[in-house]
Amino acid sequence: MSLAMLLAWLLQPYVSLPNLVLLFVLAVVCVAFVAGQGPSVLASVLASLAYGVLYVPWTFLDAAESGQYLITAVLTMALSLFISQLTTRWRDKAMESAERARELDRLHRYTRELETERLRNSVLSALSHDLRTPLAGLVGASSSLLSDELTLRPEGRRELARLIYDESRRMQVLVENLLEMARLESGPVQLQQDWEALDEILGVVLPTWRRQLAPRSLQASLPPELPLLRFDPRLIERVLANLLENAGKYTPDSTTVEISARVLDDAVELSIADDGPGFRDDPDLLFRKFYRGDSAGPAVGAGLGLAICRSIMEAHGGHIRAEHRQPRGACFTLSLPRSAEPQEGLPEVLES
Amino acid sequence: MTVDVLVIEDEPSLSRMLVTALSAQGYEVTTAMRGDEALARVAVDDPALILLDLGLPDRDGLSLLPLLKARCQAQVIIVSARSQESEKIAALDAGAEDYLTKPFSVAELLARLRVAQRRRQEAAPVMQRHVFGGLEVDLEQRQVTLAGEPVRLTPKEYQVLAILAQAGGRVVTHTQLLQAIWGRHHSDDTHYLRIYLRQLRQKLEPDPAEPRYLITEPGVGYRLGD
Repeated sequence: MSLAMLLAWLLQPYVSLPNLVLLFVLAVVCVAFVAGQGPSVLASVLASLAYGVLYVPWTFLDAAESGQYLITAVLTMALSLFISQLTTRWRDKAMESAERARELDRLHRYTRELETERLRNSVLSALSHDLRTPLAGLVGASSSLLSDELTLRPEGRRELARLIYDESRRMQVLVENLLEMARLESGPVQLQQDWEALDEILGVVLPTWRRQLAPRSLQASLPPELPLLRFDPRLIERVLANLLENAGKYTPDSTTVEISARVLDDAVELSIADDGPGFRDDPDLLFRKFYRGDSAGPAVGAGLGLAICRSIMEAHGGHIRAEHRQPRGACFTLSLPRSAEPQEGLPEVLES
Repeated sequence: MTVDVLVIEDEPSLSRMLVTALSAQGYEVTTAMRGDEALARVAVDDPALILLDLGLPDRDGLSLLPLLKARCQAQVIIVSARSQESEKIAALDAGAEDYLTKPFSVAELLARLRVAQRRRQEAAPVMQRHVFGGLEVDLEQRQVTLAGEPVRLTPKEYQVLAILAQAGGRVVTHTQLLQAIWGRHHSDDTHYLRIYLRQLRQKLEPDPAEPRYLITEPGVGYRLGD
């Protein structure tokens, strides 16, 4: 208020009286905004007094003129009071909603913490289950092979050795997924991109997975001239392996798994579809880290496979989606962007 | 003294496993845990085959490779973890004969050792005929037959196949293939290879979608299989 008075005094020679009044009103608004109702009422009174006492030349005025000035002073006070009320109310509202936002934020943080905690627990239990189960087999089988008390027949020894091998392979998948996740999370994915042929990568993946998925039938039908694409072959191989592993995990033996590809203008889509029981969950949920489908039954996997797939596809500027298949089954489609194929100087490509 | 295999591996359990498995197959095996130890050993042992782990405590396997190669005639098979992928390719380009990614099965290891051994025996006189199952590549006659039937290949297709055949089943990196056929300036043009391999598979493979002769090593190169 004193600042306003000082300013008014400084400006007095240059500014007309009505403008000085407005200056006081502005000061009242500021006080109301900063300090609230009480101080702003006081400021209104002070403002009109200051106006009345300091700036009105009472001694030189006749009754009619002083009446005018008196009315101005009273109106200034009324206006100031009114504006101070409005401002205060508006200020309180703003503070209230800020407080509410803070509370909401606290609530969000709390739920997030709860969520993380819940996630951590479920991850821990899933991981400890998934790591312990093969370990139990490994320790059991290898200690039997080493034991002097057991006399094992050759078939028995072989059976145990087979178990050790199978269990370690199972553990390898899990460990590799965990490492991959850690790598993907540790910063931007380092892609070793090159011009690759999708059919070549499938040529590597298919024979292995045909064995692993047996007795399920694995069929692939690709268009003859798939364009070359730029991608990291090892990461895309991992995406395919994770999808095929899921197909093996969540479907009965009688299932047919089909791989097909579609060439679009700006992308190539590869679909892995099965006629198994499908999934009941929201398709988007499936790609969340540590999420495990409710059709999973007894815990299998740490819920990392699809999350890894999504990270890898997004790092390539592509995407992956899950769809229900009619009449039954699940279909996962990954899409890799097409960039302009290399044209320059392919020597003798038309030879023969 | 000559030994068959020198295992350069710092992880004791893995080293022990390799010694057990290889000895059971009749190989004579020695081991080294560190790079300097390995260099001392090769001079004495003159091994025929070396299994080289890329992650050694005192130096990286990549810098060890030329030193080993300078001291003996051994075929070197790189053993690496997945996190050492790029080093592995560098090692192949630097003259290592083959590679295995940890963890590997003993069956896989023995198969690679057999390929390396065959290659070592062939190394002296240059082999002119290479047979992979039903596929025969005659380098002298420049002729390729599939199940006894001659196959017509374009000059470049033949060159790709001949280089793979000469490697006798071990992996040839993209860079090695590109440099040998198109020269240094094209060592990054992997798309050439994709196209020629696709053509070759159409002509040679019973099922080009799941090749048995022209095997892809993703991100590394190609090898011939039987």
